[in-house]
Amino acid sequence: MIGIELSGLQLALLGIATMVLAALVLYFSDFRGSRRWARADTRLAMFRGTVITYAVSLVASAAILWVFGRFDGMGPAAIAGLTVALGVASTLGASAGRLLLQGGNDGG
Amino acid sequence: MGKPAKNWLEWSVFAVSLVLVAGTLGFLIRESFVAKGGTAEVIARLGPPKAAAGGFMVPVEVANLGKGTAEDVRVTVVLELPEGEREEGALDIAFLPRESRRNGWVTFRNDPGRGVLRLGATAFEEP
Repeated sequence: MIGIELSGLQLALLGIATMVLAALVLYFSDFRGSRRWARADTRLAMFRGTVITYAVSLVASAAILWVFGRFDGMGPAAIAGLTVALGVASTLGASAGRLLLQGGNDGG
Repeated sequence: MGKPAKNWLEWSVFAVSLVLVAGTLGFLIRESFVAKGGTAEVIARLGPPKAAAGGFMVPVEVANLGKGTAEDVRVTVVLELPEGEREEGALDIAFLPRESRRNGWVTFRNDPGRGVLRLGATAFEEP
């Protein structure tokens, strides 16, 4: 219901905060596996990685919501809001989860 | 050893991702201005009743044509029967965002064909 109750501006800020969270996990938190699998030497590389990570999480969120019929009868604003709200959890999976899976392959 | 150059596929993925993210955030910001200060406008429509095991089911379609989200929507349906008899049912919807619609059913014990079906008052809350 967060995606429906929040205003468009609040949801946009939530989306930006989610991207910041993804960038922190991938590039600034010394998360397990981040040095090897999420290395970015320039700001552009960091921005690129963050945007791609968030886009993947939005697509995954939208796909899950659509499969479970959460978009049925909904207007475009509600669809975008639900996707962004679920995108917070999806982004954690796309960033930290990805590093954990990749890091687990090489034992640390 | 230098860094490998990004190929066209990687740049294409980045471009598509950037468009998707910027488009989504831009759309939400635009929506905040379009829907600012607006209230919900809930309308309902009844469909043809059908006989069921528990009575007679009447389909109800509820739509929000306004600019705001409606919370705890209640649509009442009244069946007025001959000799002053009356049966009332209600459909409750937790959330109805703007430009959205929901479908539900109201079941009556009496046959709607014997009387007149009409919509009663509709109530909702602003979240």
